[in-house]
Amino acid sequence: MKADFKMINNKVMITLEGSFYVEDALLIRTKALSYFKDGHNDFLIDLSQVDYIDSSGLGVLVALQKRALEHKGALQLHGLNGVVKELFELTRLNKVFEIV
Amino acid sequence: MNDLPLEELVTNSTHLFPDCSHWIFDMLNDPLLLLDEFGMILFMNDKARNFYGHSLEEAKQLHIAQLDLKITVSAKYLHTIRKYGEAGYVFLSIHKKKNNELVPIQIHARYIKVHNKSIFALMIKDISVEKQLKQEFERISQIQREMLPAKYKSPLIEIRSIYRPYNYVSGDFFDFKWENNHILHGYIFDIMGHGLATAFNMSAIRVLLTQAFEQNVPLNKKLDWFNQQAISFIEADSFVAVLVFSFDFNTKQLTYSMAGINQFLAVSQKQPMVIQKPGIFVGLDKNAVYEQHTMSFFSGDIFYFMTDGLFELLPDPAKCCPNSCTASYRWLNKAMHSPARRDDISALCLYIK
Repeated sequence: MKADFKMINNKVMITLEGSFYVEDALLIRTKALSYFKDGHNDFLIDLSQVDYIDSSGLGVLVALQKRALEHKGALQLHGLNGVVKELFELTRLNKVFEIV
Repeated sequence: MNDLPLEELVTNSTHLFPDCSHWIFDMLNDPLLLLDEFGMILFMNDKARNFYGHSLEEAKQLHIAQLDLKITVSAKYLHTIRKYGEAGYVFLSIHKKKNNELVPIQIHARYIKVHNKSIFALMIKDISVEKQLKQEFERISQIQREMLPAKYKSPLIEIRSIYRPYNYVSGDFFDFKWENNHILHGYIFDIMGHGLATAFNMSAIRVLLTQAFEQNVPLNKKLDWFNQQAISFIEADSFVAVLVFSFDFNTKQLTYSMAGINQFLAVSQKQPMVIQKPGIFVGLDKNAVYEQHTMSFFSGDIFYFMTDGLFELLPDPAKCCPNSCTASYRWLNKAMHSPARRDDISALCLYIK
């Protein structure tokens, strides 16, 4: 899976592409957490090019969202589609995350 | 330079590397041994001297066979390393320190030629802690396996299971219990995460689920209660996927409630189907409210409650799952060995008689 991190208007933009599995989860998590250490608490994660996400991938999103809220920030998800959208609806995570 | 004895070439490597000296070997983080073509030690770097307890002068009197307990014939040992050449050869052994302490090690060995002279370079890694940890993990894995329910048969139902951790320790668990003669309760869960922390959480989750089932409330309310209790101790970055079920053999009704494990595979009246219902993971929302659903079951029906590690490996289960007990179980077992596997695998397999 490819992951691109950018700062735009003081928000961390993460664009993910491909299938989000357990082996990608740790890398994404570590990189994203480093932005918290630098004082950045607002994230927008683009999932429009993600075709699958497993429980570890969901775990990373949950962890980042909890961290953002603890730091009075926000984590938004964008571009859910296909299997990923179905998964979020089935697990009711569409009620937990802010989807834009 | 070619006329210099090998020993001098190595120990006085200002000749080999004009701007460096043998301290470049001392900068390495791991012990390094350099041997001549006969296996005599030419050089030990600083880390190796600390590790083995020998001075450089003492080491130069030693043959590798005096350190390595697994060498029976030194010529064969060196021949194996030479065969792999510069590509390197990694193997395990046991080495003896000066104080006679035996240490399990991993050796990364290379054979190189320096100015036409043969040198064997051995990078040593102490794996004694890793080995101990591995043994502990194996023990925990065994304990986890022993906690799972055994195969079960009665006039009403036969229950088998599939359990295969991805590494030693799994975050998956399942169990079932008769409430009375005709109601069978059960659950399967998957804690997000891997490793020891997950294994510790697993025990707590088991206890809570047992207590949840003791609540005299409908199945979905048991899940509500479980979620409210679990949320206070589940790690911030974690959550639990759960499916709870109840077979009533008097009314022939299966009741189920889903929380993150949102689908199961069934063969009902010889027709395979995937049953999907929504339900949020346990541990994310203290106020989560879970639904419960029912379906009828018949003699000959099959139910597979499984974690996502197995489900994602099944090719089009609603179409491809065989409609007999033996064939479908075999089909699941085959899927379990897929090279695409990335997660713990668990399944409860229930066959209605």
